[in-house]
Amino acid sequence: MKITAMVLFFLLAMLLQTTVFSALPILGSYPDLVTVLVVNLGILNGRLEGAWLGFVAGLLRDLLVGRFVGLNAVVLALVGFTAGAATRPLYRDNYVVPCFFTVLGTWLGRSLVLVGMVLFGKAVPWNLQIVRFIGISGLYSAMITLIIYRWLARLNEHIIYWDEVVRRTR
Amino acid sequence: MQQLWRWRKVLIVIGILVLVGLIYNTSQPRERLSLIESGLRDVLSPLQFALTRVTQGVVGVVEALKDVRTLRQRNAYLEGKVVELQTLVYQLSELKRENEFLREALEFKTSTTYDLLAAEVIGRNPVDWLSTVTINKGRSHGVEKGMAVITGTGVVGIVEDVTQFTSTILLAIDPRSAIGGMVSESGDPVLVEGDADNPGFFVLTPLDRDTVVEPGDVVLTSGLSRLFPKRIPIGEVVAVQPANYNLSFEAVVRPFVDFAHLSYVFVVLQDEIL
Repeated sequence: MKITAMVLFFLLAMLLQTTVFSALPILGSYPDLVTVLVVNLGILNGRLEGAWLGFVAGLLRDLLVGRFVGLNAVVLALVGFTAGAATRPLYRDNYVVPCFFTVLGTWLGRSLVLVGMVLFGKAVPWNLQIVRFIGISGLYSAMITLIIYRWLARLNEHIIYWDEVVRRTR
Repeated sequence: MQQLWRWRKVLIVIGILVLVGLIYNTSQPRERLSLIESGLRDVLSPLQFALTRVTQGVVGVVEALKDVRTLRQRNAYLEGKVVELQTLVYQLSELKRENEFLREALEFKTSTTYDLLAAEVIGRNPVDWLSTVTINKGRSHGVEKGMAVITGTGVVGIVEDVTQFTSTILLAIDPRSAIGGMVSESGDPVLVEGDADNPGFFVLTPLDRDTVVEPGDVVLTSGLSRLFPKRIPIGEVVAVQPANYNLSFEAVVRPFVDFAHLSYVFVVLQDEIL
């Protein structure tokens, strides 16, 4: 139940990313909705779930819009794990922590994907444009977190509840 | 428990190796996408299409609204610009006219021996605007009643009234006006008056029984009246018709001066033309 809901979530995020948000650039940059979900779900559910959800989201992204199948899966698993692990000792019921980690997660995720691409033989033009793009993307993603975090937290609770209900009725 | 953890480690290592292999494998140039990739993309494509359409529609509406605001501002700006430029065009056309007159006036003034005072027409008789005009020179500039007024092209009229700073000119085409003239070709004396029946033209009456006038003849001032200098062009004969029971004739003369567009004139300052 939970994994189905999350997959649908990620698919919806990817659809919105490639359609609605592709028409809403800020200073030529776009938010990373999938990373937003992975980071926030990692914060809400802990490092292991964050890693798993990151892996699933990354794999879906690889299959749907990527080229190197598995690269985004590894990178987002790492991002989800880090978000869950780093925020464990912090008070998470505010906007500062999720927004801050969304920025870091987006920067880390995008940078690691580029590094991965280089490692697997794809030429990446390292220049200020890319740095600027990643930088603004992180801030834009944090704005999305600011808007959806509370709503996402509530939805996450519902999913956990119904997941538990379904498990017990089996 | 420890064995399970060891197996888990092994599984993780195997998983990582599989992933690296998968990434390496898919990073190589591929003929086509895998079944999973193409299947997933195909399944989601209608949704992508629909969402893109909706987004484009919304973006289109927003852009159109933005455009309307911009267009309104631009329209207001351009309308202001049109008024500004139209004013400039009027000013330039006025300046052009003034320039043309002043060029002619300069030529005329240097070619004549009379003491001329240039003046600008500032008003016209509102009842019949071809009869009298007001100029911006008056007594303080040396203008006196009865002085002749001319332009480079011909006779304009006589100063009828004078104030300190303005003068009223009785135009030569007014029926009250009469000028002593002569036919250029023969030198025969004639009387040129404003034509009451044919506004804007002169009527020419011969002063001598033997005078012969034909269409195309040019009429000049004779200088006999001592109001106008001698040999200033008055107009050109356009028609000759019998008068006084065929005992005489009269001719219609078209003035050389364009009275309808009179802007600048010269007042001949001599009291008496010799």
